[in-house]
Amino acid sequence: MEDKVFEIVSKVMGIPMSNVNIDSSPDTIVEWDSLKNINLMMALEEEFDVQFSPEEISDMLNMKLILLTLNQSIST
Amino acid sequence: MDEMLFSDIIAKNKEISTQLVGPECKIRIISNIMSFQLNDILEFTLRDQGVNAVVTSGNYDNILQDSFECVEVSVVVVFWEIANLIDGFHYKAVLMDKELRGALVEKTKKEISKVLNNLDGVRQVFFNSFSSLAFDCHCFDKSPLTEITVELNKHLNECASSNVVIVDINKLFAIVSISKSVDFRYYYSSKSLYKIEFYRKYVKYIAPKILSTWGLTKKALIFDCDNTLWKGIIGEDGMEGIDMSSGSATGVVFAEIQHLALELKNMGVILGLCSKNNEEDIDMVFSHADMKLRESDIAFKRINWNNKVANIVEMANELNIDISSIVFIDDSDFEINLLKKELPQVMTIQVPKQLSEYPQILRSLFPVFTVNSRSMEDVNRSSMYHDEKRRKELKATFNDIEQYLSYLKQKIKIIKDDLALVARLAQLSQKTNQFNLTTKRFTELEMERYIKGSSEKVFCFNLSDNFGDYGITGLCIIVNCGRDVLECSINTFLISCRVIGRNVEFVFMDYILKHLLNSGIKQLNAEYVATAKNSQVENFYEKFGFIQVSSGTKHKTYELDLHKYKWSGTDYVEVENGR
Repeated sequence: MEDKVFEIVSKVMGIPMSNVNIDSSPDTIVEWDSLKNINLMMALEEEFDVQFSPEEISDMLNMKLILLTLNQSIST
Repeated sequence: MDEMLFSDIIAKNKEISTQLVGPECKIRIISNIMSFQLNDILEFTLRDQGVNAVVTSGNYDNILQDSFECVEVSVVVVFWEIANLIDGFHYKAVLMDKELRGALVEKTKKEISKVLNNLDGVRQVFFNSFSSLAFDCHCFDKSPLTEITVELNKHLNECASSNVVIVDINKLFAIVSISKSVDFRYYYSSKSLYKIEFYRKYVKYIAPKILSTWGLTKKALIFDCDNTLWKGIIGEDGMEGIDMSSGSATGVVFAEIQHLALELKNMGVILGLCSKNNEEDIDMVFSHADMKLRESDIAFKRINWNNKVANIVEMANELNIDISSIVFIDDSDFEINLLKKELPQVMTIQVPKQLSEYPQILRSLFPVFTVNSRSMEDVNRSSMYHDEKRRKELKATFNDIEQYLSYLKQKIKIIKDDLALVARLAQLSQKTNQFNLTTKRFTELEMERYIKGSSEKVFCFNLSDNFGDYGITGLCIIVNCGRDVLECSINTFLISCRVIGRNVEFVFMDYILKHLLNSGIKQLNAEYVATAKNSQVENFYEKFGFIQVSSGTKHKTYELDLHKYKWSGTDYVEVENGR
């Protein structure tokens, strides 16, 4: 799953896969602005067929938190 | 496109952005909500079809101000949501002071008028109808919100001029469903109301309309026969075994398909058949009691055992249309995959395994055939192609082309500045690709301005011959030719592909030159702008004595001293003075 999430981040932000890693966040990726973040959430929901709650969306502030939330959403 | 994930669309769109050629199609989305997901989806869909589209968004909730800045933009898309007329209007509307609410509605109406006025010079404006459906799902009573949408829509309809396409959002909701269209989570958190699914469908409807103004519309629909126009295989099941009866559960699907095909034909779509069969078997089916399509509805056919790729290429040549303007329907995996591989420009549709879905699939195709103007030529198109077939057969019996052309007894009627022809002339500019010197596309509104203009002259011609009437098939717009000027320019010179190769362009040019000479013009300027499709006219102006004044081959500019014009001397076309 981790690789898939990296891939989606790279596609949505329009940056190479090699620039994405577990420590990525809006602070490390210039392209990751608030608009692109909404695109990212929508793309993740579509890819993994899940729906995040508004609280989850506002908590998914970096790659680690995204993976954590996504894992919880998929297992429930 | 339906199957592509949003992240893939974004990635593919970025990838394709480096390969774009041709003039930019600037599209501006102005909105009072967040709608930026639309940018990539729309941009990619158009780029994938060869349009160099660049989609940008205005500022959030800034429609009126943004509308002032929509200059040099080809298309504007307006998302104006009732819910956000003021922040939280969807729930505040009910308790709001009536007078205040009325004033807000009046203010919005004024803004709509102003915005439309500002966008008057834009070629195409897609303006979404106001909808309260997402917030008001009560079946019996009309809420104030709904009443306001009715009032605003009425106003919108009244002040929309011909460049405005009103997109019926309620219909789109019905197709996609509210729950798949709207996402309140993102609306509450970031004013982003619509889901990806909604934008996909939205683009599916508006993209063909944009494409058609770039000359990229589908013109012909080719059907396979067995299990595509009827159930069964004529060669094996015989006349009794095939079924397209509206009275049988499977046959009814094919009865509906044939009706839809006729509907398309009436819209001006050319119908063709391409089937591996014995020709006499198919001819026989036309006498079947349940067969709705008549032989005369079919403009062209290839019934043989040859490769369908070769057949379709031949048909495109015969009809003088581009391969990419063809849609092909077949039930066979083999044929569909072969076409996809060998002729990817052809749009292919496979008859679905679940037959009941077939009519809906064909119906959903209608927008790809959309042209922005409908005219009499469309209605007569199929019969025109029939005439063309008879001409081609005759042509094969003549050795000398001029001998053949004089036999045709061609008559051209040249008409100047006729407002009654606005729709057809705009359509000609939008659809003509091959014999088109500048490939400038015009809307009806733009065409109307040229015709009314005092320093522009719009010439066109109607061509007929022994075999029938071609309708209005040539257009030339001269600009900067007001009173007492000595020099003017050709803005547009085109003739429809239906009349290419008949030398009428020479007669047309001779006529226009005579007219300009009589008005005291001394010098005529012209240009050739290369596109992927108009190489056949790259040396057109040289034939008349125009001198190229620019270097380069992609964009050539010319000047002509009118006294040095080379008259063509074509004497086998009769010229009639029109209005």
